[in-house]
Amino acid sequence: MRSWLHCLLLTTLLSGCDTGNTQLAQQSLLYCAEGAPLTFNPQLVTSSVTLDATAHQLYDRLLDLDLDNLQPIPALASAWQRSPDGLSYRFTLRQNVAFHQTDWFNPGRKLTTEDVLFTFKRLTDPRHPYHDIGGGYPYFGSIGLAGLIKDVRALDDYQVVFELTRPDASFLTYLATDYAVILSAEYGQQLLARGTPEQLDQQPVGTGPFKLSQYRSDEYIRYLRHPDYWQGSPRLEQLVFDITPQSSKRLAKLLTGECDVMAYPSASQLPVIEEDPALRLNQETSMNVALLSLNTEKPPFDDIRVRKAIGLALSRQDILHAVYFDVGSMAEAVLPPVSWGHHPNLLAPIPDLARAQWLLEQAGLAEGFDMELWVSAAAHSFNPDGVKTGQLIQSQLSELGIRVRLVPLEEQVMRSRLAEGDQDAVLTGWDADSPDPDNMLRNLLSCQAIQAGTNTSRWCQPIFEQRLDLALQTPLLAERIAFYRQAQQLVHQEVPVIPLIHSLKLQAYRRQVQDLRLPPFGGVDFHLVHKE
Amino acid sequence: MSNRANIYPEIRVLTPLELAWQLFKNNFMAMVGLWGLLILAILTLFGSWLAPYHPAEQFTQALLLPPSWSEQGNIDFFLGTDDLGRDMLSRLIGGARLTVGNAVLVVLVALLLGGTIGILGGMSKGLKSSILNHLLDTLLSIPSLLLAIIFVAILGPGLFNTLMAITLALIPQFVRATYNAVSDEMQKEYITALRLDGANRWHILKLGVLPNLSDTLVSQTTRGLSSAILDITAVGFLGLGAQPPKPEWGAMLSHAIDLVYLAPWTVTLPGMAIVLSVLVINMVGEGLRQAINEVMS
Amino acid sequence: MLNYILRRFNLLVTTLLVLTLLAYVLEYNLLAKGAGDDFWNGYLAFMRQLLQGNFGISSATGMPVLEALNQYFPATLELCLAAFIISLLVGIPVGTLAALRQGRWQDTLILSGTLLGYSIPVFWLGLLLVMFFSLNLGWLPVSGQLSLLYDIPPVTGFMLIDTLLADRDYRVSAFLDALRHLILPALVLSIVPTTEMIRQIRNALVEVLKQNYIRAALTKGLSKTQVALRHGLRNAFPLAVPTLGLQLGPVLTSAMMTEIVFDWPGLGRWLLTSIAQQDYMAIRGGTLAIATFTVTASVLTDIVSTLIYPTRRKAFYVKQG
Repeated sequence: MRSWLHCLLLTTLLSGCDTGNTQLAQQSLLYCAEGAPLTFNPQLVTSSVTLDATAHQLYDRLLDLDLDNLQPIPALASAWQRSPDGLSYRFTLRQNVAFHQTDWFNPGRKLTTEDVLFTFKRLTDPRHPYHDIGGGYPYFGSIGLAGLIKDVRALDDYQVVFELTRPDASFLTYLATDYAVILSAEYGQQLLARGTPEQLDQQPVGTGPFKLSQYRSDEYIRYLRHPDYWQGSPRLEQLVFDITPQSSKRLAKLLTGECDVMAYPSASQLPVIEEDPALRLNQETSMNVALLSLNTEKPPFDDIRVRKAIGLALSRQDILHAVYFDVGSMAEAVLPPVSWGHHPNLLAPIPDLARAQWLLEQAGLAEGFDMELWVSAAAHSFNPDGVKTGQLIQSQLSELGIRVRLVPLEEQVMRSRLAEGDQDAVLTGWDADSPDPDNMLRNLLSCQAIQAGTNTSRWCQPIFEQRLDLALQTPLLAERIAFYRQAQQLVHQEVPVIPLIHSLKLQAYRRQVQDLRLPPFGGVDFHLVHKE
Repeated sequence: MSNRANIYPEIRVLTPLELAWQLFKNNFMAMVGLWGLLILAILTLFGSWLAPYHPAEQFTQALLLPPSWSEQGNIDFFLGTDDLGRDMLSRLIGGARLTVGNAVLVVLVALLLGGTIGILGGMSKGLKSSILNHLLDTLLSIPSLLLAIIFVAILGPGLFNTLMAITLALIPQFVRATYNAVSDEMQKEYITALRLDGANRWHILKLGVLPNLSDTLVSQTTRGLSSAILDITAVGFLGLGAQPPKPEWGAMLSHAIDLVYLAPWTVTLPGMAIVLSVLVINMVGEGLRQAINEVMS
Repeated sequence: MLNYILRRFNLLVTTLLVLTLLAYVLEYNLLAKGAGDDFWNGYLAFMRQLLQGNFGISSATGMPVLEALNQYFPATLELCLAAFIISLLVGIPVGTLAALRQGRWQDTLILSGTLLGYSIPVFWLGLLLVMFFSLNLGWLPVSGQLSLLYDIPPVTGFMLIDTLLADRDYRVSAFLDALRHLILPALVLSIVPTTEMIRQIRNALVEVLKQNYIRAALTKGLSKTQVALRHGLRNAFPLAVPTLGLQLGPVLTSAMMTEIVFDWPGLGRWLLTSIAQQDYMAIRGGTLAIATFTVTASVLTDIVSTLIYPTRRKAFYVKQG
């Protein structure tokens, strides 16, 4: 009876699966993403959702990172030379790199140095017509790119020179991050002439393996193959990002085959994924950290004793167990053990309520106090469930008489409210964009990053700044390591943030999907992916 | 039968109330509902003494324990635990106060305010009544859940705001029901007779109108109660109502969705709690309505 | 009759005015936009904008709110229509059956079923059905309106129609796919109007079956079923129209919950996303649209049912007198 019914349903309703559609399904990849991109230009954000959706699909950078040894390798630039004093870099561009042809743009020429100038002038030159469009560049803002680059000059159509104000050991890695994508100067000029410059970041044109076909906000993004891609056209005809914020729903779709790849499964779902023979799992030790950031500008968190007390009350063990299902490791310092800047001798305090209570008494807060804790309503690669982590912290702090009110916020709202700097504490984190320790420390804790909105503790410590700068200026690895360790020592002493967990980066996909790699840094890449 | 000592048995005429109770008692479904409602009321009122643990207490060594009858279950946590190691039974009992208790509160306020406005409106005539009529039609045409969601959108998420919004959304329904009942009653001849006898408005209200309102109020109250529970849980499910760690049933359900594969009981149990409590209220309401209808006819 | 229609329209217009006023108060207090402005002047300006079709620009997406409404509304309408069709297809026969077997076990069973139907929260029912039909049996898709493999340009906004209109060689399979996506959400949503429909039809038919002409027909030797189908339903059927009209409000709000559970790209889901994003222009536009739609629809069904069901008209005049 049941099989008969099944047959009937199959023939009448499921006929969508057979004949001509196998071809369509074969050449399409459905990716269940955890959120909607805020824009189509990665320069404007630090949100991993946006990076995933845009950086490697639509664009290319001058350089890429070799995923095995983490050294820069040629991308749009086929070769580069560093001057002996480290103050100037010359890049030779690849020829015959085509831009996307879309409904909104018809490229008249191939990639030249003009596009590189356009891209970097926009980022660094306040007089550039596009500089003020899009609301700032949080990543480049917090590393101070505008102060670093003195000038960008074109020698001819394929030779470009970057002149720096000081030597910077990380300069090449900056150019290989997801943020350093090259835009089209020709398209920019056309939009300017039309009077709609803001379209540059909404209807994107790049050189990447896929071009945007259609975006329905909060629903899906449809990318089509870029036939003239310089590394060879991708084998997928279309790539669709299905925006599905709820992780259970992403898994459900993966199980039924409505998705081919699922972003960030939560650790609680791993048993289900491992059990199903049709599914595969990618795990990657990623350089990330989830942390509790305390607003050091606002009482009572301006008192170091209060911050320390909170650090003593938290149990990382419980968070790791309950939220991450033990997939990950407890964070002792900001930089994870996989980073070469990791400080092996720093240890997070062992939970000690008596001492925490004593510290609060010293601070005159024996009775406890009320505070708000902002958490992200969506999942992140570094924290699968902000609300749940928040509830654990809430209950742990209640032992000290601290009454925590949880405020779950949507990504965009959180960003705009963080800019006002009015938070008590935020549950946040960072997913490294490059192997450089500078990336994480500077974005999370430097003074410039307060303005850029990524330093949510609003902690600004001159010695810390100086250590970071020194580390960039010395070419010797041993010295750099020493400086980063000193910087972390400072963070450890002053507790502007409480590191919680380093998690694994996870990705689940259906068996048919081939050649899918999960990069340890930055967004996903579908260029080489195909289906069996 | 009851008075055996009475040698001269007399036929006792039952009062309408007794008659209704007789009818209600013979209705099996209604009685099941009544017992269920009684249990629900006890849990709501005395839940904090009955629950084995505090609803927010986290047992970090006992995460996601299945209910006790399953193999990995533990009798200490009868209905299992959730992802933060909180006892499901205690949370469900605690949720009864938040969900059902608050629904009762909301309905009482709406009944009081809406009933008063309805009676006043129903007793008056002319322009005032017509304005009220129009206004009611307006407010009634907006679904109560939508109204609640809009209010919460403006005032910000939270249980108190949700309750206020649902009260406001329920009031027009009570006004409309009492208004119609009162104005129907006012048309009747005995009221005219009363008036001709020189009774003042207060007398008419007390002797004529109020006694005949009971069926309207009873049915409207049970209906309001079930819709209030459904609305509170719906707003909670959307994440706009009770905020964590409050164990409001709808909010519990929505936070457990991500665990549905690993720990299905965290999703099914709060849902069952909602369905059962609304069901018993509806069963009692249905029984009451039937009984009153039969007494009336 | 004209008098009646005029009065209903009068109601419609005043209601809509009150609604816009509410929406404006929202904006006046929240955005503090008109703070410097005089309240009534601001309101007039606001009304002028609305009448020109200017609903403002969504702050989250940068899209005009009117455009978003155009995009999301048909999806909601499609879902609601499907639910209403199911409620007619299921409600009328089941209600008739209950009435014919009044007091017997079938009747009791059906009535208990409707009681359960009143008590189940749609979001929970949706979750259960997804778990069973999509995950356990794998028969139906989990969510969405159409598999994203298919790229269907919107024409009418109704996915079922658009797939057939689309100039694609996969349009038939796209149509079937859209149908498969519609089944579960429509079923879940139909629980509200179906239970109501069953009750109304049953109660109306029970009343009709008591009438003398039915008895006369019975004495003529017709079976009860024949009588019910021939005379009873005809008289009970007009009740279905106002029932549907009254159900519009509840169905629309249940549709919001259904859309959330099934990720259906409709008005409700858009409105709730806008609330999460604190996008006040979109919230205002969305609530105005939903409220306007329910009010207009309820007034229209009122008029229509009065036209086809004259006793209601009489009742109106009696009440008036």
